[in-house]
Amino acid sequence: MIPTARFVEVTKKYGRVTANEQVSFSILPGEVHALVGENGAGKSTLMGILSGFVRPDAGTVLIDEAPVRDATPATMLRHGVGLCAQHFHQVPTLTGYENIALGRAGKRGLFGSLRGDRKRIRELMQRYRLDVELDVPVDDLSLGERERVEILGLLYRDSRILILDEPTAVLAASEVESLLQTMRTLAAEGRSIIFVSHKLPEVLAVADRVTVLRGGRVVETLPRRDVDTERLVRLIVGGSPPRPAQWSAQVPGREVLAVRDATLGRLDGLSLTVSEGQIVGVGGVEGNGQKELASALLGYEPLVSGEIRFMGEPVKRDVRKFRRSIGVIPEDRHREGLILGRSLVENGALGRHDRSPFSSAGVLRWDKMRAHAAEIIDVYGVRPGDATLPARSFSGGNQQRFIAGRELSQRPPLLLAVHPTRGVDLGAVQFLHGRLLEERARGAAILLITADLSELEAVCDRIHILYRGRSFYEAARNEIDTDGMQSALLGLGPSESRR
Amino acid sequence: MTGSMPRTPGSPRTPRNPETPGTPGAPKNRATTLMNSKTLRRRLRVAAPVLLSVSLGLALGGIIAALLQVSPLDFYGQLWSGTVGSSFGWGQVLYRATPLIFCGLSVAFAFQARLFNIGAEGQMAVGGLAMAAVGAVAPSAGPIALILALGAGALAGGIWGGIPGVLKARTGSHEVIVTILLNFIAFAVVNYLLVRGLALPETVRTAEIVESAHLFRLSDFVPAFRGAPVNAALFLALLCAVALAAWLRFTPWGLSLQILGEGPGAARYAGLPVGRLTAFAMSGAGALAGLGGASFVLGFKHYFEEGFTGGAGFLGIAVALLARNRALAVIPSAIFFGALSYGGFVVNRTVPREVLDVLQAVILILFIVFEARRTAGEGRT
Ligand SMILES: Nc1ncnc2c1ncn2[C@@H]1O[C@H](COP(=O)(O)OP(=O)(O)OP(=O)(O)O)[C@@H](O)[C@H]1O
Ligand SMILES: [Mg+2]
Repeated sequence: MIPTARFVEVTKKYGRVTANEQVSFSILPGEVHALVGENGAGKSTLMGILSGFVRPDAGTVLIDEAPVRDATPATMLRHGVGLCAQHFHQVPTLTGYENIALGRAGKRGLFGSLRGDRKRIRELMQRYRLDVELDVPVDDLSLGERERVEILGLLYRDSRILILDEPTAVLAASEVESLLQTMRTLAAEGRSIIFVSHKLPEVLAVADRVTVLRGGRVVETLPRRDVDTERLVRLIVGGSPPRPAQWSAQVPGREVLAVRDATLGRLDGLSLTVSEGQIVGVGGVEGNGQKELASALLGYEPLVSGEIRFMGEPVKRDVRKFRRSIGVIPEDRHREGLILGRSLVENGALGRHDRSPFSSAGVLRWDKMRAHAAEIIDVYGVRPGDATLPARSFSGGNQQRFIAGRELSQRPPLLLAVHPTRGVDLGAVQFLHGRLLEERARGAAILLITADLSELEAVCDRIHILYRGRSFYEAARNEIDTDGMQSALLGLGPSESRR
Repeated sequence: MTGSMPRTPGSPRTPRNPETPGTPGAPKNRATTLMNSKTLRRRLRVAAPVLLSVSLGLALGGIIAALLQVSPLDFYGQLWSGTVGSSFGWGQVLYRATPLIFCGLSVAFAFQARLFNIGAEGQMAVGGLAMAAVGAVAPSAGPIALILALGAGALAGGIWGGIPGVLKARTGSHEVIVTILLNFIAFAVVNYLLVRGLALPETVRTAEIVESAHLFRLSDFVPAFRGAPVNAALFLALLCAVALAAWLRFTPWGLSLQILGEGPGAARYAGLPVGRLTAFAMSGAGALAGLGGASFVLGFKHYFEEGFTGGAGFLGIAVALLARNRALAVIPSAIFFGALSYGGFVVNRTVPREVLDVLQAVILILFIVFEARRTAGEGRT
């Protein structure tokens, strides 16, 4: 079979950091090719090279066995390469339709081109089961929804080689299921799918072949039948698999956060409470009010109705004071969590730079800020371990580790963690879960918003599944039944799910 | 040195992460020399747009001169000896650079929060009038009059600049539009106040300020500057530049402003007082521009005269641009533009003064082009 794409000894260095070294492997038509490796292993860089966004230092990319000279995003697009990047390439103020049509409707000329072919987009949406509101600016959508917009864009463009860089990081189980199905359908149509993921069950469920990267090099490319979880983990980490975090029973203390009848946008009368030493999880398909809940807690927007209480006091006027006394791992690490152009030194103190110990007597303490950044890097395993590099030059997972580290290290009374392990590798997931449980043991109240049911099951004392802005399913840890939870994602009661 | 395994005090598990190949390994001394040549190259790359645009622009000046039948050598010779080639020339250049430093700082300050202050001209006019009005009636004991006059200038400019800041914070109205429009209003208000009593009869200037509000001329101490109007406002400008640079680097508010500018989403997420910072950035910019009148009003003519700003507020945008909005770099940038604008008078006998205006514009355009090329490709996908 003739490969649709082939890497030949591709090398890419950033200063002293090697992102890819002598990478060679090929992508076949009709296959789902998984690309796995730890944070910073070089996956996104390699995908950037294939899609023309990153220029390699050495080596060649072949498309249909012909070397591509002068690869740019435009030429690679013409070759049929479509990238759904780890951090999306979207215009936040344009609607879903406009983003999908953007740059893809050249034939239609200057005018009306941004509307796109709505009918076709609708068809694609139905055919591949990618439901999303396309008439609002993508800025108003959650990450999971923006993901769908991005994938629709690739399908609309009829790409032959679809690159999905961690597409499932913010999707709920049911959505992952349908996305994997979509990937199979697309492969069956003869397209090549490159699937980057840290979630091995997904990889094993969908991939035909798997390529493992470590430290920028290819460890091996293997057919699916030759790997199992155990083997894959060993190849990825080059050692034994990490032990999962251990939950243990603990009596919660005083109530720290109470949300009552919260209504805002798609949030429709949600109530929940979080107490000291308790992790409360909010799961569900993205777009059911999660974003609004976080918005209200962060003080971005006031609730239309309902109430938020912190330590028994209503949070009304002093939203900012409340905000500044809690820790928040935000949803969007690029637009909220980091100042991309600044070094980790500034980023490590973000939001606390005007308080002790980072400033005293009105003067910034750069020494303290440096030491703090170095400590986060050290404890949370951020690589490369150089705090003076700008945040933008770290891989997605490493950025996430740093943000999680920053927020966890400040020992807040209340932590709002939105997709805290988004895009971090297996070892780091376990580590962060361990840290969440440690904070809980210390007495922190933690509100965890995640799409990942296994994350809910791993650390939560109590869970809510959001559906249409309400808590559709609520259970204490020992009452959780996985089936009920899964059907709640779709708004189905326990009886309906049995059919 | 920490190993590739992260240390985790009090924690049972550690996240693993691939060691980055190629990071250690190289012998230390080789690594440092490599670093040095690399920093050198990086510095050159950063300096290139400035050097290239200035030298290409000046070369173009020679070509234009030749087209006008003037020997380029004569043109450059006159330009040089009339400006930075003589102490009198320096005195003139520095006098012109003084308000440019203030206005350049004003624009650069607002830009820390990514706000564009197009209103420095109006802020400077309002500040200058306030300075003259207060300076004329202030009690002349000790430095009180001087302090009051400077304070009045900064305050008036700060209020004028603060209006677009508050409007932006409250309603989201764009500061570019508002500052441009406020320029017109500033000129109208200034004229109105002049006509309604601040101006001496039959003139467009105010009464003289009291003697104790004067800023001394440099020629009082350095005879070589005799005849040139450069005065102590220059020191005030330099002081402001240094203070601003230090403030941005070492204070939490300075950093907050930059966070707001470079990551508005991060500022909002971190719970910074975005509205207050916006208003503060604009009124601080206004105050700096308001001080821009000190050189003329307190140091040279000792009164306010209609039209004294002479476009310094707008040229301040160019000054800040060439200085990449860095406070200290505003100083050489302002001197350069000061030299070009004074150079116009110097060469006027042989080539029209407008040639140097053209050069200013060409240099800026070239700089923008080179700068865009330099920064392209710095981001990651
Ligand atoms: N623009 C850049 N500037 C500097 N270094 C970079 C840049 N892009 C990537 N790197 C470095 O290259 C290495 C590989 O990064 P890459 O993003 O490819 O990793 P990844 O495998 O996608 O990781 P993750 O799972 O965290 O997304 C990292 O060490 C990263 O710091
Ligand atoms: Mg990546």
